[in-house]
Amino acid sequence: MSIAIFNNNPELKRNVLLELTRQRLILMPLIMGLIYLISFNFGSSGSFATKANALSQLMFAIIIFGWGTWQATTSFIDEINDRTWDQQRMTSLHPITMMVGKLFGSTIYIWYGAVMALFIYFITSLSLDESVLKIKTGITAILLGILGHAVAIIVSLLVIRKNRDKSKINTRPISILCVLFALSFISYVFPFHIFGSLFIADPQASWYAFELPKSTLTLIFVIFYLSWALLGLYYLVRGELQFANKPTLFIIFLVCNAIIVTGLIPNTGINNSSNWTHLNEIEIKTIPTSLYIYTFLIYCFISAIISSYFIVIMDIKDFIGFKKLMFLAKQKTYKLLYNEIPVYILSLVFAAIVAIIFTIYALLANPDKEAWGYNYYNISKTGIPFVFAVLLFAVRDICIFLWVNFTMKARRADTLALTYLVILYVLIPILASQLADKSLLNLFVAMPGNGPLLTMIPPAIQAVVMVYILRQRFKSAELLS
Amino acid sequence: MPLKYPIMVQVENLTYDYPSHRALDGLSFSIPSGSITALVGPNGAGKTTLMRCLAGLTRPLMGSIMINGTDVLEDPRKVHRQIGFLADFFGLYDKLTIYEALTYFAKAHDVPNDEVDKRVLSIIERLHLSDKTHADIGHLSRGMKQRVAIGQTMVHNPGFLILDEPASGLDPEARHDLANLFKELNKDGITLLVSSHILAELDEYSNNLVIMREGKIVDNDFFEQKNTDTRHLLLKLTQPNTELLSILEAETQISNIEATETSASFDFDGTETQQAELMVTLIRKGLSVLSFAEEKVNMQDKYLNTIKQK
Repeated sequence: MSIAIFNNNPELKRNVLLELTRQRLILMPLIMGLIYLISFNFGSSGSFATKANALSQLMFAIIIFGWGTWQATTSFIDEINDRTWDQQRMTSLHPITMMVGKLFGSTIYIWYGAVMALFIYFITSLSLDESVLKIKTGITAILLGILGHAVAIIVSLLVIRKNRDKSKINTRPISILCVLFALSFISYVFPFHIFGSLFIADPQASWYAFELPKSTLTLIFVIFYLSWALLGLYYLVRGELQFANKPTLFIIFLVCNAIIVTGLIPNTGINNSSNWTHLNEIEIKTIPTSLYIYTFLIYCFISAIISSYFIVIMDIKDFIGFKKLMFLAKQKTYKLLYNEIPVYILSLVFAAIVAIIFTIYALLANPDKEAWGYNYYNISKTGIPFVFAVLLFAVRDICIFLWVNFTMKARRADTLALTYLVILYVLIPILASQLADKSLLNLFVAMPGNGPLLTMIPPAIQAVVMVYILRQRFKSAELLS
Repeated sequence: MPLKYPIMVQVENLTYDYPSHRALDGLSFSIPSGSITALVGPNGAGKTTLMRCLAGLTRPLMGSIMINGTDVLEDPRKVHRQIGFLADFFGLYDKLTIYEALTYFAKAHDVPNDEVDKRVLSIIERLHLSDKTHADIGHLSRGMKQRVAIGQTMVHNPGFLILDEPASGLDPEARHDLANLFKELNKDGITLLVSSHILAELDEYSNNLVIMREGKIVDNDFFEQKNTDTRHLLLKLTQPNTELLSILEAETQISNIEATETSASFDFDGTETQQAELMVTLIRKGLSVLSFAEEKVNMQDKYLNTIKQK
């Protein structure tokens, strides 16, 4: 099994054969040329270079973020719908070859048009002010385009995974969601050119102790997320091609993501412990390390919890998978068992570990509060119970999703589970707060500041009850099969 | 299954569950190398699920599958290099020509670049599609498409082909061509596993039968053993003879006798010459022989009998 990235990549070549027909190759520059001509004749005043530059950005954005993302979403799903995917899965194509073939192959015609727009953009940028910034913006846009396409393919592969038993998958809703997501990149890349041609200087931004131009920091962030998107895509393609994957990668991503995002908190702030009475006496101090650590841990925890919910909705949840896990556990084949563990469970376990580390750190690092003196939550008294309450509610909710999905006759099981959550988190709390004391809200929502027992015991009881009910459902489902 | 035949597929305790039912219920069977195995059974028996498990496309709950000595569950990718699989509902790249599609699959199967062209053209010739080499697949007849699909599965020279309902939707002529193709492939040493509902057609080319029902194997019979001297013979008499059974039992090469006063069927372990000598012996012993010939097992009868019995 050889790795072919661009050269001699059969999947890429197949897409080139299908996408780059003579007619289409002529059509793209023809249409783009006509759009340029129409825009120059009816557009607003300004130099030729300025107008061509702005129009090229707009065309690139529409072609790549809109059309390209749509195409990328359908690249794998079309194989399922056309019943060719099994034959591809049985080839010797390396996952990297397949990934590159799909990522760039399905969008090759779109890139053909985008490259023309980029060429005009870069050429005209050289004759305009802030040409370095414009070129940097152009490179960021290219990477964001690939990122959008990679994310679209990731989503489509998750949808395929969930609908493995279906012979047809409706691509439209997924494509629309992915295109909307990718189109949101426009504001990051072209915030000032498209919407009014206002020139805004490239401001400085801080990341931990570093001071960087915002455009450079954006580029670094895009490279970071693109690398992870490609890695995630590679893993999903590996899974489709029957390679065993370890779910640890997702947890490593959560940690790396928390590290990079934590750096965005300002590295200086107002010291609230100073006895200042006038504005000019405000003391600006460097943010203590403990705040970075708290932020990092909280970010890890929140992203793990949110991921658990997101993945449990996206993932397949029939009880056969759990039956397999039980079987592997009984066989003591722990390596296989680990590979088969659903990521949402691993994500919950990770959240629990972070909650424990958070507790230990909050109890040990309390002196920092004195040194810094800012008046936010007393972490050891309110933060810890709150974190565990959130975790326990998440356990309960994941159990609800599984419970509904384990039912043989459950149709649209995830919608049903989400309805239960709306009832539990919205309708009942509203009713309870209207009819009785507001402290009753602790029964339904994780709320800080009501003492450890009142905060943690209600979700703990609910989590235990749901685990028990789920176990009973699993047993009955096993008997029915 | 006699152990003297090399085994291509060995399945042990294969179990596959769907949320609503058990599709494969602890299957154990083997397929000899060089055979054409017919996989038959009523709808919902689990044939397609079994074939997908054999192809390494679906992971079972438990059990093991060895194909040509490789564990399918441990190393499905390695198995894919040795097998070809054609699903019951397959798709083709309609906008590619036959040549382009086969070239794509040859390269995707890691056929060396300098061999691709030769391999593709030889397969096109073998499939009798030479005059359509550069025709778009979308413009071909269903029979031709079926052959292209089979060509895609065998472009990497697999030793074992799994074909799920390959003849469905084909006209009689295309079916006949397909049967001939299977026989040709088998002559070249390829082991085939073919599922179909058309038993008469399977009877034409298969020499091994696997019958499935409700996720279980109800029969696995290598009923036409090419390299053995045992044959099933049918003897018919013009006049009843009460001693027919005892006369036959006296012969050492005869076993599994089922006899009436006018006919008998039995297994005979011997050559054709010995069979002729046996007939002379039986006539000498006073039997008025009307006919004495090998009784071919009809797959349809065998299938219906098995299904009824079990």
